Formats: sequence, C-alpha cells, structure tokens
Amino acid sequence: MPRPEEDEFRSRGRAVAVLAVLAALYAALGIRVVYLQVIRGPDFVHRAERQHEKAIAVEAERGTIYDRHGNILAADLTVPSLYAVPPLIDNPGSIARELAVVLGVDPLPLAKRLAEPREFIWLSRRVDPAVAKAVEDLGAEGVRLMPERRRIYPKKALLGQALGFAGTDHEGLEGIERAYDRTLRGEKGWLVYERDGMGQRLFPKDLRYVAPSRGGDLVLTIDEVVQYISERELDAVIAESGADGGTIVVMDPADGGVLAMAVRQAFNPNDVDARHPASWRNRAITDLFEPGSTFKVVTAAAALEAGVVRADDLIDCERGAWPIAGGVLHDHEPLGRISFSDVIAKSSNIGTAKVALRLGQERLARSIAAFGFGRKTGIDVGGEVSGRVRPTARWSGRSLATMAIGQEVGVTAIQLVTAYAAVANGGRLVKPHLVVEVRDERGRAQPIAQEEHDETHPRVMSEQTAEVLTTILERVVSPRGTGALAAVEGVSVAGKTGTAQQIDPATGRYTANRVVSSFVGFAPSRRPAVVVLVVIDNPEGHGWGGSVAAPVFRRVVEATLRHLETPSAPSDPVRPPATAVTLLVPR
Amino acid sequence: MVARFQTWYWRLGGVWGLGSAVVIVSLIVLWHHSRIVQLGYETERLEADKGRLERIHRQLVIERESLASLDRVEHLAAGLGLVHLAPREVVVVRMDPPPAERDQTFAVALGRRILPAEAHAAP
Repeated sequence: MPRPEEDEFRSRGRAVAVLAVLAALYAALGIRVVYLQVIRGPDFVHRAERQHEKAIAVEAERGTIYDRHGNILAADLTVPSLYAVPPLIDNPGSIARELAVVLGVDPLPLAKRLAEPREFIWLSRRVDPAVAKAVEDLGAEGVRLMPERRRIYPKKALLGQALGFAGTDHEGLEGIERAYDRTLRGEKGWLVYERDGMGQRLFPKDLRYVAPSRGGDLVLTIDEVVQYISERELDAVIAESGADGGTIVVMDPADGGVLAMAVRQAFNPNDVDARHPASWRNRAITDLFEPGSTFKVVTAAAALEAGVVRADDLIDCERGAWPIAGGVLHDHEPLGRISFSDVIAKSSNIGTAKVALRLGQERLARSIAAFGFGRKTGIDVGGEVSGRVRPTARWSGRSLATMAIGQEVGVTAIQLVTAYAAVANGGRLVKPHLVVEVRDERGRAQPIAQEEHDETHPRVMSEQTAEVLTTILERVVSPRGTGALAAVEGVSVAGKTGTAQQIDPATGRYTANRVVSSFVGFAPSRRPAVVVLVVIDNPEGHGWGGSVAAPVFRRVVEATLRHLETPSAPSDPVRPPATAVTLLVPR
Repeated sequence: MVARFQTWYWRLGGVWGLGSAVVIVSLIVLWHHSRIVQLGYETERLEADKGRLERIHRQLVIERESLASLDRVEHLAAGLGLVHLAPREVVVVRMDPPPAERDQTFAVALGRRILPAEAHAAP
C-alpha cells in the first residue's frame, strides 16, 4: 500500500504536469493570437475588406466630337443595360420565355444562362429604351436594369469612316475615335460599397465614390455642310456611272485642315457589322490607286523648278505614239508640237515623258519625295499607309517615263490632295489634319501636341513655280482643256484630270475595262479657299476623269463656295458671325 | 439650518440648470442631425432629378442633331418643292463693317453680284 507522502507527491506531479500542458497551450494560443493579430493582421484586414467591399467601375462619359461649327457628330447617351441575378430567380424557364419574346432571342439558351450558379450575368447591353420599358413591365424578380453609356452618331453615315466607332466597352476602335481614344475616353470612376455575408449591400449610401472624369471634346476641321455636299455628289455620281465606289476630299490649302472626307460605300457607325470590316475602312488614307495624269503636276513642278522647261516651250508630241524602252507610249489624241502648258492642259503622256527625260530620274524622284509621296502624311487618323514609290535603284528603263505620267506609283487620296494644296498655297507642303481643337471636361481649349500639328510647312517649290503651275492648271479647265467640265461659272478654277487603268487581279496586267477616274483642283485659283479631289473607282463606260470626275468637282466646288460665303450660325463656337445668307426658294 | 438649505437649493438649481443645458444641447444636436439627414435626402432627390433632366436634355440634343441631318432636311425641302438656286441667281450682300444697329444677315436674290465691294466676294 503506497504511503500518503507518495500519493501527495504524485498528485502534485500530475497537477504540475496539467498546469504545464495548460501553460503550453495558452502560450501556443498567445503566440497564435500575436501571429494572427500582429504579424498577419494587416493582410487579414485587407482580405476582410475585399470580402465585405465590392467595387464597381463607373464608366466615364466619352467626349463629344463636333464639326467646326459646333454640330455634334458623335456623343454619349445614357441607355439602359439589362442584367440578371440568378440566385434571385426562382423559375428561370418561365422568365426566360417572357424575356425571349421581348429581346427577340431563343428562350432555351437564355433559361440555361439564368440557371447558372453566378451572382451576375449581362442579358443585353445598351438596349433600346422601349425594350427596357417592356422588360420593366414584366416585373421579373432578379432581372434588373443598369444605366450605361452608348455612343451615338446622330448624323448616321455622315463622315462614318473618318469618325470610326467605339466598341461595347467604350473604347475607340477605328478612325478618330481610335486615334484620339485617350483624349475622348476620360478616366473611369469607382464606387465601393459594403456588403454582408449574403452579398447584399449594407448601406444605401456608398462608402467611397471616386467620380469618373469625363473625356475631352474634339472640334474637327470638318464642315458638316461640305461633308454632306461631298457625300451627296459622290452618291449621285456612283448611281449615275455605276462605279464601285469613290472618294472626295476637300481641304483648306492654307493649313491642311480637312473640310470633308467622303468615302463610298457608306458606313454607319451606329450599326457596325463585324462581318464586313472593309465597310469601315477609310479609303481616303488606306487605299492606294495609280494617280495617272493628276501626277503630272509633280513632274511639271520639278521640271519648272529645275529650269529644264518653261511654260511656253514647244514639245513635240509625236502625233500620239512614241516608242520608248522597247514599248510605245500613247496619247489619248494625236498631238503635234504644242507648248508645255498645252502638254499639261491636254494631258499628253508623250510630252510629259519627254520633259521627264530632260529632268532625269534623280530629280524626279526627289520631287516625288518632296511632295510627300511614298511616306505617310501624318494625318491624325489611324490606319494611314505610306503609298508605293520604288527607289530609283529599282526603276526599269520605262520607269522614268511612266512614273512621270502617274503609273508605277501608288498614292492615297490624302497624299494627292495635299500635293495639290502645296501648289495652291504657293509651294508649301501642309500637314493634313482633322482635329482643330481639344477641349477638356470644362470646355477649355487644350494645346494639341506639337507632333500632331506640325506648323513647319516645308517648301516644295518656289512661289514663282507655283504661280506658273497654277496658270498651267487653269488652262486644263479652259474650254480646250481636258477638265473643261470642272469650270465653275464666275470662279477661276485650276486642276487636273486623271484616268488610270487598273490592274486586272486575274491577269496581273493593266486592263482598259477598269479605270480610276479622278479630278483634283482648287478654287478660286488665285485665292484658293478649297482643294478638292474626286476619285471614282471603276465607272462604267470610258470613265475619263474629265467626263466623270470633273463635273462632280464642279458641283462640289460650286456648293462649297456658296456655303463658305454664308455666315455661321450665331452659336458658332469656331467662326464669328458674318453678314450673308443663301436661300432655298420654292419653285 | 438656513445656510444648509441654501447650499442644497443652489446645488439643486445647479444640477437642474446643467441638466437643462444638456437636454437643450442634445435637442439642438438632434435637430441639427435630423436636419442634415433631411437635407441629405433632399439633396439626393434633387441630384437624381438633375441627373434625370440632364439625361433627357442630352437625349433631346442628340435627337435635335439627328433631326437636323442635312439629308433629312433636304429630303423634306424637296417634298415642299424647294430647290437650290443656281449660282447666278444668288447675290450675297455684305456690309463692311456691319453696322451695330443692323448686325443682321440678309441676302437678295437678284443675280450673282457681290455688293458693295469685290474685296468681300467669295473666297
């Protein structure tokens, strides 16, 4: 039998052991508490906040795009978007059936989506207000509306390709919308709210709200009326001539501001069809064409500047056929010895080629480069291409003669109109641009980046050469010139016709059946207000530039000058009021 | 005895006064708080109204721009029998400088002549 001392000793030993275990447990607990509260504390607080707080991005209002007179070309509108909270939907099948009728979709996939174990799904974004009202009237539990912003182009297809469009996430995807996306987009805001374990909002008032910053506005050089005139005349000539498409560019030669950029086929940025990306291509800056005779002005400028020819020098045009480099160069009509002015006025290929031979390939190549061909003009819209001009090392024996008359080169419409603007303004190459002003969210004008608006206009020819060229180009529009149909009553016009054969994709050779008809010129020729380029793609019949494009030029110039004479509206943000109006009268 | 009564009276008065002051301040704070809440609701309501009116204004501005589309205007004008004048049928009359009392625009359809000076003719 154990002695009492031994029992007491054992009991005390057990008590000490229990105490030691408890102490160790408390110590471990204490260490764990310190670890959780002190060492990992901030991390857990952050995690808890993340679980209790929900942040919603608030889209900023995208800036408005105006024409030069303050007419809205693109703006944001608040429209409803439809979403669902599946956990709140008891009967996805019946709600899907009701919704499908309103939304015009298949009910089965919709029911499947409504039954998904997710807290939020978009049903349809930026819906028509009438559709939103119909959904609201359904009163379906778990189906809700949220205001979102939608990009609206109130003038529909007007200036469609140049404006481009913004996508579902309000990001500029094409045209000016893309080129100036950072300016237009603004900055997203954030709305942070607290929610309970069920995910429901605890307070109606937001905990934190970082307001979105509205995007800046753009004022374009575009004149809505001139744009409309250009598109109207382009539509008319395409319908009349059965052409595949066309382009008209109207530019202010003084500073390179584009007044109109009409491209057909038409594109309505409100209705973007992703299956036809070609429809939103801005052909004025992306598509190349052989300029044909309109390019002769480059040869003429270089020859006059170099002094290898004078306007009244006689050139033998060989009665319409001239053998060169193993081939024969033809004129559209047999011409004898005529002055250099008449060579251009009558668009003689032979006369121009002979002058080019005097000039030599290096000087012609320098002139082509000086006019900006073969490189981007730097216009402030994305997607511009450089054009196609081969280096002199790759010129063939015929290249000097053919390039002088606008073959073997590929140019864009904006390059060609910019080159003629240089003739119109006395010899300086301006940089074409579409944006004249950027305004911040308070409407204050912001400076445009220097590289976007380069004010240095390099000289490509002397003023005297530009003046002689202008006189020559005026003869083109005289009754005996190829561009007689471009003449505008009461206004002096200088310009040049162009008819270039296209390459048949099947044979890889020039075909007489497909041509590009063009006319480019400026008016009034001695105090130019506008340079206008008309390019008609593949008109039916002969399709001479003088018969297809020149009349369009005349109509555009006539209407544009009449419009530019008239005063702006009193609310005009760009131009001050003037003192004249034109009238529409009943007949 | 009287002195003790006076002391007690003054103490009671002090407590009562203090209590009253606390109650009054509390009431003021409560009123102030409820007023802030009330104004907060009012502000929210007015802000919602403002937002709604701004949205409507925006819609109307865009609708106006859409209705003012030139192709639509020209279509309507054609329907009314209106036509563009030929260039020679238009005369643009300009005044230089425009008199302040007659800072109005006008035109006379008499034939294409610019009055009074060629200097202000078409660009």
